[in-house]
Amino acid sequence: MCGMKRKIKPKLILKELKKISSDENFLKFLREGLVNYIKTNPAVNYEKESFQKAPFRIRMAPVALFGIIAVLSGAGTVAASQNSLPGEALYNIKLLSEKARVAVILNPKTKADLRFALVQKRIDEAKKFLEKAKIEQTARQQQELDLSAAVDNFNENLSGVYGWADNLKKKGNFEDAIQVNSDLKTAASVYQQILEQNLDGDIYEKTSEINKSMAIVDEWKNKTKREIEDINQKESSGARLTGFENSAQNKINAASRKVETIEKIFQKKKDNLDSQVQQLSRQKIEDTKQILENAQSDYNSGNYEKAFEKSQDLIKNLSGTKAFFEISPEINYDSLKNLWNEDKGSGDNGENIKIERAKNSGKSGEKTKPQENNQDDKQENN
Amino acid sequence: MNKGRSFKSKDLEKQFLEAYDQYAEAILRNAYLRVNSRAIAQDLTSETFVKTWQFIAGGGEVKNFKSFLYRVCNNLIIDYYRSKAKTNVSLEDVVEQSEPVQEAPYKDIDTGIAFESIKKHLDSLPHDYKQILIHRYIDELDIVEIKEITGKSMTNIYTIIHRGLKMLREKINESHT
Repeated sequence: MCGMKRKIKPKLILKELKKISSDENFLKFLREGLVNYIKTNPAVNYEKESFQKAPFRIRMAPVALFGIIAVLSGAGTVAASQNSLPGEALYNIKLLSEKARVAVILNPKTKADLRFALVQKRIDEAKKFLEKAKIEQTARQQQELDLSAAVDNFNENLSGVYGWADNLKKKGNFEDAIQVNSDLKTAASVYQQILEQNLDGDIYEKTSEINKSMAIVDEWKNKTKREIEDINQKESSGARLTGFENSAQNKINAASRKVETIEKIFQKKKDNLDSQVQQLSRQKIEDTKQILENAQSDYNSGNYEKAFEKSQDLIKNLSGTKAFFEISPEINYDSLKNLWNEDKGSGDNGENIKIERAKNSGKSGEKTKPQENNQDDKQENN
Repeated sequence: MNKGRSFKSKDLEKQFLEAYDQYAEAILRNAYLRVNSRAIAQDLTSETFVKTWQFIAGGGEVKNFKSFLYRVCNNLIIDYYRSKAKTNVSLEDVVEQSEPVQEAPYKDIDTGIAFESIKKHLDSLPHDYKQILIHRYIDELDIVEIKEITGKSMTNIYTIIHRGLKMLREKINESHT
């Protein structure tokens, strides 16, 4: 500053990083969360030496946390409750222990992942429960009460994931938000389907609450779609100026990862699928690969904007597919077709894909009418 | 649930929460400097304490909370980078990006160098060097503690500190000439 060269002292400079502000609110919330966690998972004085040498190195994935908590918590009650179903004595302990797990995780993404895992768990549980319920007609009242709690829990987790999607949107990650939202909708409709097919009376009424969740998700989705169109337009024009090449390549990579994932899942599940569904899926994978190739050749010829848009549309069109294949107990032709024909994201993506398919098959007039309103019709009928 | 808790377990809870009060801020800062994202650092910090409690609750004994917590956090950071390299989880394509340091506009009076710039230089060092310099000068751990956490020999740690500081000085000099 005064013309003199200042002598650099790295130690002193490094110490300056200590001044980075700490997030006091986070630390306060985490402390409260830990106090609750300790209460639900108290220390047990193990007599046996072998228990004291518990394995230490643990993975970070929240999925692993499930197992660890189940093994280490309480005097084994929580662990024993993990396989319980509605109507069984330990079912409510299971729901409580899950709540404690969710409460102690503060990072929104990890929390949303865990919530989504719990949503899937409720679906698996419902399937098992209903199979069992057909055999045992006893303890009906308790089963109904617990199932009602399970539906509440499902809704609670859905709104938690929904909150995360909304946060993503607020941060500007519109595509990710839509993706989360599509997975969410798929999960909700699968759960609803399972319950509706197997229940009647008061419990059947309970499924209307899932309808409400789905209506909120739908409303949010339509609003976000409009917003994403604006953002996409701005993005496209802004990206033309700088860095479009990189954005396009990143988008192509993301789309390619997506197609790979879908293909892997299909390969894994194909033996359980009927021939019509297999054919539809194969066709879809071929179509998407073709679009991906076109996007890459656009990129190679310097048409980055087009490459970007094609890849983006592809990603949007495939959103929800992974969740659908993983969660859905029965994958039928119509529901799969609906999923892929459903208008997602900026609106023209499904159309792009169909146009590409028509071009490839040489039937320029071929057009499959998207069955966009099927879901709504179904809800109205209910 | 609490009915069966013995004096020993209450004592453990007290010790654990005291350790939290004493080291949580430092662990959070350490994680943030190493992963460059506040959200991930918060996640790692909460997991550090949850896993530490699980270890204690399962009958494990912690002699020195400070180095134990840093070691857990260290392992989680390693796992984080490994899983990041493999990528793809259920809510796919949600990419956490490096955040700019919030205090960027602030310029330190003593050094005259902005936070952003210090952080950038530190990030450009090899991973081991960055970790050990953070432990030594920001976490203010002594060499023995760093040895416990990293598993490196003391000679190795001294060498890394010496070389790391030299590299940092050169990088700062380069950027300010």
